[in-house]
Amino acid sequence: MSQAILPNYLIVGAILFGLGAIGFLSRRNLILMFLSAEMMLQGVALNLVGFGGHHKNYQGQAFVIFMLTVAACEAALALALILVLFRNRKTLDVSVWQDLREANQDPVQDESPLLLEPEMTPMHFPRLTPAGLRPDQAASPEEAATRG
Amino acid sequence: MGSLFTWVWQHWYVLLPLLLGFLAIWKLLPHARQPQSAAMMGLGAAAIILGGIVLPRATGVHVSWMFDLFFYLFAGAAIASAGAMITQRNPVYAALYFALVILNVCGLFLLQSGPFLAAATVIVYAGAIIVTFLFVIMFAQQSGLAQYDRRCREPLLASLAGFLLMGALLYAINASYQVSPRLTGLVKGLEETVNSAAKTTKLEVKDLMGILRVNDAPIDLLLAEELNRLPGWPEKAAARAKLHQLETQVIAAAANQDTAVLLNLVKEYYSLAASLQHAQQRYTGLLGIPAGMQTQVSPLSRRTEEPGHVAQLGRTLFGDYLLAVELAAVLLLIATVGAIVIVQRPKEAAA
Repeated sequence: MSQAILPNYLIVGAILFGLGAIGFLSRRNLILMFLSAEMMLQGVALNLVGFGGHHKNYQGQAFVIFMLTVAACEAALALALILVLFRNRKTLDVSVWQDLREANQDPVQDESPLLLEPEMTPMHFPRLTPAGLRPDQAASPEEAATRG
Repeated sequence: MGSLFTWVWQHWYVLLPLLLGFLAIWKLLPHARQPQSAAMMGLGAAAIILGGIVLPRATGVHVSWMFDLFFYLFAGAAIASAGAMITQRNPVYAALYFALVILNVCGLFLLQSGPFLAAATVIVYAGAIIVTFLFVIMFAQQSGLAQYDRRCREPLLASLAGFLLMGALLYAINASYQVSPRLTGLVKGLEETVNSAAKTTKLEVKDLMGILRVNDAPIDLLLAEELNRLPGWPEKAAARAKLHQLETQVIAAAANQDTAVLLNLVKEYYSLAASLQHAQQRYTGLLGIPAGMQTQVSPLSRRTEEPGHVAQLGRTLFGDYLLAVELAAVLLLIATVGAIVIVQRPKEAAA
């Protein structure tokens, strides 16, 4: 019954793969690039599961489990690498690593200044009352922040 | 130029949602000078809905309305959150949207009866990977939104490349999972003729011969071409022999001016074309794979009708793929060791 749905699974997998590719090519945050690559993997996993259901065997799902293992290894290593890169330059921007480019390539520069948006105001988070104090006697959030 | 236009006209149901989606993603990616607009988000949503309405038109598969409902729900939510993830400026939100993509993909896994796989994916991705990455994002970006998250590299070229890739994939999927429209038209035309011939008694040889030509090409040629698109069909040789036999019979009947025999031959052509259409549907997998053409797998991996999917998946993993499971364990160990080695500070820096 459900094996007839195969082309639809392939279509969704292809769309996730393409969107992941766009994210990987255009975003500059190292972590977002990594997440986009993971999303491409999800598209492939959908294809494998769809084909497994289509052929009525478990090979597709077994393959996806191995893919999950490799993705977990990859995530561990990528996280370690990102931490090392961040420690070196104090930023997650890939553009600061563009001195690794080939000798005849021009550097990428940001030309247009940023447009400041109203939505970019800093966010306020709730704070817990320190232990041993009554809430009405507790210090205001600002004082608590300065005291650490 | 004219052929290009007809090609675009024939494939509008692939091209139009892709074009809308391309515009939406291009405009929504973080540009330095433009804030994200609600109109573009609406355009993206319209692309997904339009794609959901028109793309299955080509394959025309309906399982049951419950299955379809859940499939479209999960698929639409997965694609929408994927689009939101790559266009989101705040990396924390992007990671959460990624978790949403994973959850919806797990829903699709469940529909393909993979409950263990869905649970494992939720635990590994949405549980472990996302949380670790959120941790790193918050550790690295304590001072609000960074400059580099508010602009991206080459949004136009990147989205163009991505959507060209997507278009090529969707076109290929559509072309391989579709019964040839020419054959569908042929079967429909022959069916009408057979039905109308049953009502009218007066039939001319000229009319019947006209039916057996489609767009000035003899019907035999068309059917032979469609037959060539079915390389693995077991009854292919029989169908080809039948086609040859019909061809000689038609020539003989036309020479004798025998209307009754010709009408019978038209019926024979109809049944042949209909069986060819059915074979194409089966062969492209739209009706499932016929018993004789299933791939040979070891009995451990075969899916049986009895319940207990997890047990069967375990039998596959620890039966057919035992060595691979052991290797995966070694791989995990090496990756752990590697990650620890990579993040270690040099000794003088640590001291």
